[in-house]
Amino acid sequence: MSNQVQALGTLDVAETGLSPRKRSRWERMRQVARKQPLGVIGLFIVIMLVLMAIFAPVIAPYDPISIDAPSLEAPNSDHYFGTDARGRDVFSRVVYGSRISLQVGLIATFVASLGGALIGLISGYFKGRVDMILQRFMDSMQSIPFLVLALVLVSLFGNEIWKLMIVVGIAIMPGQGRVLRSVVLRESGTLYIEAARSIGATSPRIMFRHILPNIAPSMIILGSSLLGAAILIEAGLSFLGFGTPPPAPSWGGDLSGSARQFFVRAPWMAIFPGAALSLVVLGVNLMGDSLRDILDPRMRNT
Amino acid sequence: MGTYILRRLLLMVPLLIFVTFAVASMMRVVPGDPATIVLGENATEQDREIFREAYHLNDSLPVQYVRWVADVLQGNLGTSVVQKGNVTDELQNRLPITIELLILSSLMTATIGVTLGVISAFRQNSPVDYTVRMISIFGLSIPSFWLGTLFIILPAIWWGYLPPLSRTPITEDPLSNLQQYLLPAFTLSVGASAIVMRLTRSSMLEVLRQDYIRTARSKGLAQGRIIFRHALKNALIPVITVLGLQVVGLMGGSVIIESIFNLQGVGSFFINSITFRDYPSVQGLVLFFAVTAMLVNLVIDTSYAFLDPRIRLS
Repeated sequence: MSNQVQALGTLDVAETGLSPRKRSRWERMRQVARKQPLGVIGLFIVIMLVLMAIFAPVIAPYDPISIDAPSLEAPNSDHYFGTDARGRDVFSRVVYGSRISLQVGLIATFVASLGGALIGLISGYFKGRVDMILQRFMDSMQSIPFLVLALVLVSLFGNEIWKLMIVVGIAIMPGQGRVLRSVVLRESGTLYIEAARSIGATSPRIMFRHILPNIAPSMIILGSSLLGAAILIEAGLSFLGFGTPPPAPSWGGDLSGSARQFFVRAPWMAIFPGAALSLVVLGVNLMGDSLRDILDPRMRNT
Repeated sequence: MGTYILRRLLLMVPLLIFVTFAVASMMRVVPGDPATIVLGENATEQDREIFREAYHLNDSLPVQYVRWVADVLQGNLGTSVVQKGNVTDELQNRLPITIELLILSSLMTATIGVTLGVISAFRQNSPVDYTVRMISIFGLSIPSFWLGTLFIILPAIWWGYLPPLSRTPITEDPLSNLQQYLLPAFTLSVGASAIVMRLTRSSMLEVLRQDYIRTARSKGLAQGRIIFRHALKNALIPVITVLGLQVVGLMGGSVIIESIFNLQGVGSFFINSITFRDYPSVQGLVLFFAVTAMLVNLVIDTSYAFLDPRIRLS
């Protein structure tokens, strides 16, 4: 991890002398926050999203699926974001839509991180022929654009929500695997791995007990940069009609389909779900950028 | 150089076999019978059998695959089950649209991304730098399909302007053709430009710290000469790698953009094929996407040697 953070810790102990443990952690957080104001904004947006997803039934004034108002009503005090072509409350749909985005985004990123780490570990640790075959496999997956790959997979396996999570995860996995492989390669050349090997540790033990914890920071950094991509792919799939099946509220899905013909008459239908989506991806990106700066100063500004 | 390119081209063959065989075998594992989809629920079993026989859908997977590869080698990407036409013909009709979209948006990505990146690096930590960086992080976060939707509905609301649904071929009236493609191409390029901008900036900053830039400055060289002759050339190498990846990403994005702006290109062909479970077309199109992406990457990799004579291709 970063020397910077450690240095800050010692500085506090030396200067304040008062209950160093508690104080230094607080000070450290404030220091980081001061250096990364955009990251704090991002974190704030992401926390709001998580709260919105968890408390959706409390926040949303209407059922997102039931039809209980005149259609295409402009935003007013009853319907903050207006109503859609079927008379559903757009605000409630935007609130509930956060659930799908968040679930698919997070779990897909998790799937991609695990898969990528496994491929990276096997490829980087065993090297040789195994590495070559796995990397050619990754090459061929990467030669197909994300969205095209995800579309093919969804059309093959169906679009239930848990399948979407896996499909999106698989689509973004090769990038993870590629970078983690290079981290593992660097790591497995170090002395402590040689030491572990010389005392007779088994390969799985070295891979999972010794190398894995050391590539974890890289996994987090990569994961945070892929979360935004995962959310966008889910929305893109739904937009094209292959993602979350209607009438479930989904930001991508609400921007497409038969709704499009009403957009000029009822622009609020198009503006709010898209704005919510952009805001969330913005938050995730800001947070990811700061996280990378904090965890890995070498990758700063890349 | 020649042998390097040849070897790379040969390496593409196993990759392509991998990709297509994976797609071909997955396509058959899945429920959903093309005969039912094309002929409808009301077709008799006999009709469906005739259909399957006609399109060789009853053969085993390896047989179907080998027949398909043989066809591809003769320039025939397959026979579409739905459109009753040749995939290659359909692709040829639609290719100009997608290629124009991709070329325009790649040019925009490179121009916007590199220009803003250079400006941002040269004015590091100035208001200009912060503005450009904010724009880029917004560009990275806005989904292209929302931006495209806004580009269509906002002018309609404000000025009652709707973009024309039909396209003028570039051979007939290049100017109005370009006008029609400008907006979709820009929409497509926004996300990629943001990535290129960020990378150009950081790569420029790194180069600007080098000793030879200080030497160039102390020699009294003009600012412009330092930027273009000394700094940019070295800063561009990582940028070009990412640009290559972005072109592949733009191909994926074109699928969405074509559907928003009603362009009848390769992307909308792909969507149709997926919707109707038109196996041969999907296979042909995946092959097309993969070959294009691999060729783009090959061009990128060979271009390093031109930019930096120190890099030897091996």
